[in-house]
Amino acid sequence: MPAVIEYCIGNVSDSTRSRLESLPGEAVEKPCLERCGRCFTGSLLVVDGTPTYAETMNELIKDVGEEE
Amino acid sequence: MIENVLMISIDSLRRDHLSTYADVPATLEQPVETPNLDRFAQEATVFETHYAGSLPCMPARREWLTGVQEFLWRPWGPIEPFDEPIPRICGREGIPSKLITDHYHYFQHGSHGYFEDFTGFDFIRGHEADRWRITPRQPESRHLLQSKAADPHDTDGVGYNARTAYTRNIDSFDDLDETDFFAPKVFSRTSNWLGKVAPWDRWFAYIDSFDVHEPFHCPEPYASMYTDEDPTDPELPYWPYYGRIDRGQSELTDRQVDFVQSQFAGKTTMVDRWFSRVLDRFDRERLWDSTMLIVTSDHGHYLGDHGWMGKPGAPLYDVLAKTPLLLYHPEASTGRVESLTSAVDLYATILSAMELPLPDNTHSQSLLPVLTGDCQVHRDWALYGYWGSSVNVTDGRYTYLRPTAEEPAAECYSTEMMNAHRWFQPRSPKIDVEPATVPYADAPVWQFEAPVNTRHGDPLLFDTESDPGQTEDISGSSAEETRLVELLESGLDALQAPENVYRRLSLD
Repeated sequence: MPAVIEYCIGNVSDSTRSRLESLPGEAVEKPCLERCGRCFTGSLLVVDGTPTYAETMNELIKDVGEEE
Repeated sequence: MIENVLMISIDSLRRDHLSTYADVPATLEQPVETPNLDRFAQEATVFETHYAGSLPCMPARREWLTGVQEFLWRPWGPIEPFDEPIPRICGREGIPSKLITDHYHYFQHGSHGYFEDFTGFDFIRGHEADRWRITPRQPESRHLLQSKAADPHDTDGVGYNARTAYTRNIDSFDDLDETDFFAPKVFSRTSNWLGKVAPWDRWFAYIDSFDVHEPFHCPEPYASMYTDEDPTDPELPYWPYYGRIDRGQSELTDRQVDFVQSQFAGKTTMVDRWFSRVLDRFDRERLWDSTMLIVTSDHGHYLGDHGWMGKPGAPLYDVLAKTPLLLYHPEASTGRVESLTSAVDLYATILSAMELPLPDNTHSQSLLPVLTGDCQVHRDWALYGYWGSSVNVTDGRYTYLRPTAEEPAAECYSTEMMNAHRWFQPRSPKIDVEPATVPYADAPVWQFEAPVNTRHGDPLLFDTESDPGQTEDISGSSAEETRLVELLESGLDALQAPENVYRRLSLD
């Protein structure tokens, strides 16, 4: 399980934010992840310091270990 | 009356890096060499208790240039069409104005209106994420690593604000030739311009040096001045991410934090050395009799202080909010002003010094009475913060951070309601806007809800006289808290802040 999941406030919906905050790790809301170009064109989380991209935020959240 | 005003902002300059404010900065075990800023401080009035207002970069510039303490109404954005910027007022009086800068935010989405009223402007290209050069396609790996631009998902780095832009911009820079770098260019161009401006009887100039702002990439001798490390070691970043230094993408080792601190100090010394060109030109052109010279900064920069790197997200401690202000006026005595002052006050100060009309309803109060000794107490309170986030108040001794509630949502008041890159306004079209007014303008604006960048959980109260490092939060245990809350309300009342701000701060 990741320890720290960072997300950009501009790239998540309210429901996604709730899901991120319910994950086992620490969800950190950032004003900007300083990766705007990629952040705008897809879904981005920084997981334990490593940028992780996917088509949808749903995929990303599943990948980082959300339980069914 | 003075004839000219030269205002210089040195972005992110921490006041504890100037010996006029501190013998040794909090981040180093040795003083930072700033002999020229020290020399200027000897000739100027040194403001001891000067605070930023609206943060970060562009909000600070709107305060300086238009006298509007904007963070209570809107985030980072353009000069509003109803604003009265200093260069426009100068122009109406037939006085030319000049902007010299390497600050690329002026040319980004949503930051328009700042340079357009200057009679002339110079823009030195290439700082930070300035979209300047697209070659070489593959920048030098050392810079990709030290700027933390390397991203396996964005190998071409063509995205907006991609760090790769910097590595391309500086690809041809020689680390042994400081004249390739930004502060040397800004201050040399300023000196040259000052040598040619004499045919004009009066002028206003604003020099906006983006250095000391990150990336903290320094040429020699500055890169090695405050460290024994090899400054080209790819393991040592000169452009860390914003955030906590103990987790996430902003996590740094102690060695890396030390290195960042050394490079910030080195860059400060580089700025100082080239600032000397301006002082020398003042001597040569005998500008001291006719010209007011202001040196200040928009904010500081956390370098591991309180566990943070950078600016966004963190609570506003004095490292960020208490800024340097050195002001030379030909008719003022040198010395130190203890009274509380605020960044927004520079607007009225400049207009008053040039005997230009001060528009009604701004938030700015001229510093001339305290400069000339006619007044000892300039302000009882100063407010500062980021739009939508905590509101901070100080009386010059105590600082109080009042966090916002999650509900109601933050409201924005602006003629601008959308930004192509959410920088810092909504990226999606706003259809739930309402017409509204602001108390400082006779023009309608849009009122709409927008997501805020940062919320803090708890209040913070510090007595900076007994605790200048702000390490002991006395909120909840000090009788001063009630007084500071009242002071905060007084400030909001005086500025006629929106009702939404009171509700979000849980104030009646």
